[in-house]
Amino acid sequence: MKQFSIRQYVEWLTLIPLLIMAVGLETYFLHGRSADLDRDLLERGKLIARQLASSSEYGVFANNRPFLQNIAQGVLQQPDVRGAIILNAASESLVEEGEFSYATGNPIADTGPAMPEHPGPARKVPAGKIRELVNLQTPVLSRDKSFWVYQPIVPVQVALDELEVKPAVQQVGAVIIEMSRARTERAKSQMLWVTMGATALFLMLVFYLVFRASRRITSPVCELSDAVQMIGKGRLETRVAVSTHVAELSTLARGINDMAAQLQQENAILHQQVLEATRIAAIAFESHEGMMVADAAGLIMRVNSAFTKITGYTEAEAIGKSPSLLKSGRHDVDFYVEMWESIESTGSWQGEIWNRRKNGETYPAWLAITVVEREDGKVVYYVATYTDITLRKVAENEIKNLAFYDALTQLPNRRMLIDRLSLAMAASHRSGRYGAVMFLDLDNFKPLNDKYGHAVGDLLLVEVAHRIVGCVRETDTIARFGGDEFVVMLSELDTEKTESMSQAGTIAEKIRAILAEPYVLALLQQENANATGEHHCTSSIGVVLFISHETVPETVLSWADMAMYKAKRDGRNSIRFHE
Amino acid sequence: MRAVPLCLLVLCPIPCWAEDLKVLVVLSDDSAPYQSFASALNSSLPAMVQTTVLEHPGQFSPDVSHADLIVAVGMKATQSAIAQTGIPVLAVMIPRMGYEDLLAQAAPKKITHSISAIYLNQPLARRLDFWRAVLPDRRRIGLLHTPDARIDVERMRQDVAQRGGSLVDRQVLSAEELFRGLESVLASSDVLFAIPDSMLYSSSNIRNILLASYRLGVPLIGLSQAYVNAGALCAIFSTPEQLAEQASATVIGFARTGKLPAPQYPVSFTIAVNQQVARSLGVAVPSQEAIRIQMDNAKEGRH
Repeated sequence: MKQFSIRQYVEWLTLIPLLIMAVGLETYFLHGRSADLDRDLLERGKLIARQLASSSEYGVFANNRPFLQNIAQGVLQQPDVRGAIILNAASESLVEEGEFSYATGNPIADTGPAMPEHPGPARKVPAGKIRELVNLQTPVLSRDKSFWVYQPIVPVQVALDELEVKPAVQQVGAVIIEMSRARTERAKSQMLWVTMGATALFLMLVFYLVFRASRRITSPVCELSDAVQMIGKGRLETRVAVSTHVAELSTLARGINDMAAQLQQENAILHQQVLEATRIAAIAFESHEGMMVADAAGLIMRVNSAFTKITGYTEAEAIGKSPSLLKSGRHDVDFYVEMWESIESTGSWQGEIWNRRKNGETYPAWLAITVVEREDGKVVYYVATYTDITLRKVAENEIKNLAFYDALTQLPNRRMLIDRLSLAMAASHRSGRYGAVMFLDLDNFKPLNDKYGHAVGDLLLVEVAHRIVGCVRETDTIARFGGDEFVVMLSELDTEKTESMSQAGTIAEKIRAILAEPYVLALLQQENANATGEHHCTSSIGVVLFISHETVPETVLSWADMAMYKAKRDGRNSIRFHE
Repeated sequence: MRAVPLCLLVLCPIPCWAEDLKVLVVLSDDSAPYQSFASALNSSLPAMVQTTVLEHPGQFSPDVSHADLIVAVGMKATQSAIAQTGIPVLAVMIPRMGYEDLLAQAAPKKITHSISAIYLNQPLARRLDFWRAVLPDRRRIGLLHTPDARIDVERMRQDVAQRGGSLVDRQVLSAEELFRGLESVLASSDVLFAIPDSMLYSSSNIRNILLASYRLGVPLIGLSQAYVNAGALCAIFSTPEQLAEQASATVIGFARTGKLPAPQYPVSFTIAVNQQVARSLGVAVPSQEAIRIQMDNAKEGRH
């Protein structure tokens, strides 16, 4: 829809009625004046004809043509009179003065077309036509530029008291005059121009005044409108100062200023809040946990410094890449499929994952992925939080060690040995090969412990464990049973018992021999820091073979223990087989 | 100039009727001169005469009216009154020629009742005396007449000659000839003498006649006050009041004698002079007294 400004409305609403009124009044005035002029001319024509008729009476009566000519010429002196004809009672033309014109469309005029070329007598012919056209029945004949008035000449009645004898008044002649409208038409057109000029001046003045007035009325509105537009565009600092006497406009201006101020204030508060929130978010983002934000396509958009610390990739290196950058290769496809299924169905996933650092090192991480969605449910971002759990893994191992290994020597403890023994027993049953368990106890350990303290004792035990490890295969198990008791479990020996015994005996002998060698011990806890002491320590070894799992590990161990005691009894530093 | 009333009484030897004479006054119409006449007559008649006025001859019904005498005022009233039978009629305010015409029309029927008249117009002798008294220096009298006027031109020529003047006459046969006749008459006369001739001296023509005569410096002797008002130099005539007086006397005479006198000319007359016209034409008009004396003298002299 076409839009107009308030100013245009005000101007048109004022001008259109004025214009209509002015044109209407002018038309009415001109029409009225024009009709007046026409009527005046006609009345004057009639009056002149009457006067001429009246004054011609005697001339017609006396048939006095010079007299009549004289008065006819007198009539012609009057403005607008173009011609005069005086007729006698027989309608014979007595006098024809002036000129006669004939409007086109007058059928009679066609028969005498060349009249103006014949001055004098020729003019009588058209005058004759006029006599036929204008008569008592048609006293006024009107054409475009002229009109003709016919007036009978009737004798002036002078009452003579002739009582009964009153003959009818007889017409003694007639006059016809032609009146030209030219002057009236000129007057009309002059009047038209003058009034149009006056109207135009008036309208120009009104236009100017309306222009001024509408500007005074509408300029505050325009200012307000502009201000509102500016505020709408976000220029909240915009203020309007309208000087107007219109109360509503002042109120409106104040309202707009207040509104803008309010908006500005709220905007500032909001801005502050956003800044605050952003700052908090930034702080939160820069936590110790590695964080990564990826877009809907899964490409990295942002990482924090913890991420760089954990992965080794800087922000510049990470952004735009896929998180598969961190893939360690330790997980199969199913792992990732499952992970994405969880993300898609629940919006989040967390769990342990093995990743690879930039330097190629793999490490365990605790990964939490959260989906950020829009209101319509469309995924916008993925936020991933990494926690490097390498240290935790170490701690876990320590705990595990505490349960299954000996804290001092890092050798499996009794529980683990029993566990492994049962496995080895099952395996020997399947393979038909003999296994062996050696129960080993240090001789003379207690006096050392008492003499130098537990710390030195522990050093000795570590050295013993170390020496035993050097004597057996990797598949064999060495366990510390607590105190100075060790157990060595050999598996997969031979199918032959004798051979197996021989092999086990060899190993046992090897162990006994190496343990019997002297031990140089640093006596750290003494004041003399560099003091070393040499200690000789032998061992007693009890060996037992096993082939099936018909007996329980504890029984096998007790057999080995019994054999060990036998060796002790037999003089220590020796090896005895369980029979 | 006005006609004469008349009077009369029907009866014979019994004078007591005179006491109760009933007079019916019939007017030709309600025009002012007739009205003036009627009221003047009424007031001049004695109380014993009972008068009834009919303002229009159409109201006249002889059977109903038991009048002893009818006073017919004007031509129409006279015509109606003559047509009825039995009651004597006195016609007044009627020209002599008109009266005679009416009588001639009625002649075939036997008129059983007595009829008389008081004429409106002045006797010719009086008018000629008047001319001589007013314009003693203007001897050539111009006369225009139509056959309708039935004027005895030769008789008049003698009368004029008798008074030391000459008559220039011209008969006009139609209105169209009027101007030519007028021109020729005026060209050779000193004064234009109007006569009762309705074809010439009409309301329509009088202005042109007066203009023509004025242009040639010929004064017009008119027939009434209206002529003087219109521009005639002078006129001699009788007013309705003068005629009513004469009629009253006649009625009283009728009451006394039971007979109507013969038709008569007005006795009293009035002289009117338009001093403006007199000045314009350079005519010195004697005073009214002088005129009357001159006229009386002329009359006496003839007798």
